[in-house]
Amino acid sequence: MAEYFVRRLLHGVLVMLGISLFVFAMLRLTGDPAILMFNGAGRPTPAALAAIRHALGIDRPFWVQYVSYIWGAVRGNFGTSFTTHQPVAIMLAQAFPNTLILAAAAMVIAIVISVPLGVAAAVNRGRGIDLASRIASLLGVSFPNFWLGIMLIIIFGAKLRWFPIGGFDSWGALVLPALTLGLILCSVLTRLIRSAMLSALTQQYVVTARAKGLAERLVIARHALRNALIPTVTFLGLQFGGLLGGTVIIEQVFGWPGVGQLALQAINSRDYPTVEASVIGLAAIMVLVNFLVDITYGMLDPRIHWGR
Amino acid sequence: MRSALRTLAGLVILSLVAVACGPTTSTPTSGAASTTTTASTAASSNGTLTIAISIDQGDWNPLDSFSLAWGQVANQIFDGLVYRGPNLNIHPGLATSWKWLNPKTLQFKLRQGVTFQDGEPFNAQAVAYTFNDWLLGKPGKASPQLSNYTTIDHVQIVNNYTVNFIMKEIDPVIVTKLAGYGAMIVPPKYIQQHGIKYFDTHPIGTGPFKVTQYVQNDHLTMVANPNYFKGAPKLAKVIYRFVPDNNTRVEMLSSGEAQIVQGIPVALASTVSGLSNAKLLPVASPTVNGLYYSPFVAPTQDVRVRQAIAYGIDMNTIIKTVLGGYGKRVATFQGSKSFGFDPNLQPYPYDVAKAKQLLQQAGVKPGTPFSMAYSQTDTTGTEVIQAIRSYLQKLGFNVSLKPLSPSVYFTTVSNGKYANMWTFGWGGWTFDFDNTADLLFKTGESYNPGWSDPQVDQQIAAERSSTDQQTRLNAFLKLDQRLYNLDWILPLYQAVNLWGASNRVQNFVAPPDDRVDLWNVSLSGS
Repeated sequence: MAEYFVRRLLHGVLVMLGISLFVFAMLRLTGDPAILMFNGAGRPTPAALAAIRHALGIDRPFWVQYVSYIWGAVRGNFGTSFTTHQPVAIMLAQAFPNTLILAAAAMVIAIVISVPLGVAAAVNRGRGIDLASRIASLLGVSFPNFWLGIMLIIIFGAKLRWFPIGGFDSWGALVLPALTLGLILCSVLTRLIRSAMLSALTQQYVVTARAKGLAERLVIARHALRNALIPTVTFLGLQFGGLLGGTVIIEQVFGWPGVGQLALQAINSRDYPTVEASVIGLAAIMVLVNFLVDITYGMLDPRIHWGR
Repeated sequence: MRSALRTLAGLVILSLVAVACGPTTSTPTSGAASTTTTASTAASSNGTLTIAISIDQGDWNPLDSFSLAWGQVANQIFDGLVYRGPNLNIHPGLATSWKWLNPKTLQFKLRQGVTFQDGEPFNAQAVAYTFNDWLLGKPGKASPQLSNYTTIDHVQIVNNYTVNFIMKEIDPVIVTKLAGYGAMIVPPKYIQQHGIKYFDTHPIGTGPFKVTQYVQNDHLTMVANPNYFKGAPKLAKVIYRFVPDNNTRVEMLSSGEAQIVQGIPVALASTVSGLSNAKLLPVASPTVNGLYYSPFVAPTQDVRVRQAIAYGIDMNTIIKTVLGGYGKRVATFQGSKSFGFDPNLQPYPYDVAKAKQLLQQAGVKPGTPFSMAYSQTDTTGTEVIQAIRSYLQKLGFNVSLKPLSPSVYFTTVSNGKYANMWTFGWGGWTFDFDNTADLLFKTGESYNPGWSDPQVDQQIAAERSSTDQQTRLNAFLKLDQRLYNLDWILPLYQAVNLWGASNRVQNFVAPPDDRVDLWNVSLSGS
């Protein structure tokens, strides 16, 4: 098991190094950030450009910049933003919790709605609730999340005025963006739970439980649902990474001060350090989540052995 | 199997814990100003106004930043020596008067009794510090704004309330430029005490509002400066919210969550016009949009081809339909309020027959490949480009569109070899053609993709070498005519910016140059 952990850890480190190198190189192909700092205001003199390039540290050879960056990053120093002149680590420390809160709230919404709905649909297969849940799921999967976000804003923010629309200065502001993300995830999750439950309900252990005279409620909760949750947990783990990616657009729509908005602004202004740290941060979470899912999967299913 | 339930429960609990961490906006972070102490506001100031804008500049230091997004916010924090209001006239600001002592010495008399928002006095030392120490730059400390002020050699202190600007060369637009971005006066002691990086997010100026909290990409809060030299502002508090999405900003106006919103796209203009609680405020901006021609990619090197394109596009119809009328046709690459604008020059009329005749003379065959580059995030601009494409196809061109990300756009198109035409917007923030003409059309300039003409260079030199406005205007009129004949750029339209304001907002004037002035603004019912 220890060998497995070490191997997965090394694998994760290599992936992170690869991503950092790729992002580092690609950003430098987009052009000179020193020119953008003049914002079209006037003609930058060669001396002014050189001074700014030197101050930004981008006049050094590529590999010197990269090694210096990685050495700083492992010590928690991701450099200084080219546009705000603030330490990127602090900017990310402000933005990442907001993104995590949004993703986590969306996941809570998805789980709270999907589990009972998926179970009810499977148990009542072919009846009204099953049909309704399938139609709702289909609609949810079909809606682009930004469109759903705008609709929620118009209905619950502008017309009914139940929730604030932009920013994150109160708990109420979390409701609409979390619902937007959560409902989309809910659609997929409900279908997954329904099909996993349908499969579980036909298994021998369920037949046995019923034959033993166990109440149907307990058969469903203790035997069918528990087995149906194995693929669900794996799916949710992977989806958490996806949710983080999905917040980029939702953060734009709702003016949510998270890492997605930070990264998009940084990309537009060629703020190398902020883009690099944002991408590396999101990638690190994906790598971590994948790692945890692998471990969890092995714990859930005794037939899976580490290292094989 | 129990572990499955435990893991699921764990996920829910973890999510709840993350949520329970709470909004980070409740406490000021390093991105938040330390000035969270309750600033006393004038007894006459009341009401809280929320204004939703699309971009968080992130750095409020005027020495660093030159952008419309900066001006929308930081105009409340800082003052310059002179002030250009929404009517575009130059008024006294921190200087009460100014005069040219000789062609290379401009003297300012400074306003007395003014303090920065932390109590530091404003005086000649502050002006000299702003320019000599920062704006004009020391080696390795050059401000990005230096390029606007290269004609200034240094600022000389005459006495505590008099300074002389010693010029390297004649600059007829310098007073206007001093009303612009970058040339805001900063507090020397505060910056020396806290450092320039701290100043970026904890700005202190002499302006009507003082920053109390800034949370990046979320909001910036200001309270009234009761000691403002023009008198305390009418509003007690102003909250800027940074909301990138156009629809969301409009819905904030509709719901009353924001009382002023910036950057309404043409597609949402009718929505705002239809609101019962708010009104649409269109204002002609100095920005002119056009299409730059390539001097290198065939067939646009030929002036007949460029003229044919100008004849072949019905710009009036595009403005009426695509822009909903929110655009003004221009004949040259400057707005009608620009000094140097020639009202006698008329845009090319829509004449397909004339266009085809010119293309035939130039030897352009039907099906000739033609490429157009544009920034893909500009939704209105993209619709205009698509309309222009249809007109060019009617002329027989085989048009390909090349959308580009804004982060790589200018780098890609600026050498003039990527496409036959590319979209180009220009702010013209001085409202004087000097800046535009010099940077876009003079031989070898960075925004000129490779065009060159001795007469153009000669007229630019002529207007730049005089402070006599009539001499300059004469040079500009000759320059306008020459540029009109050369057709290096296809001028499309002068942009009209759309703002929205609640009916409760009083005395708000939508600014042509995006420099929002909230000093005299109030809210009814407050």
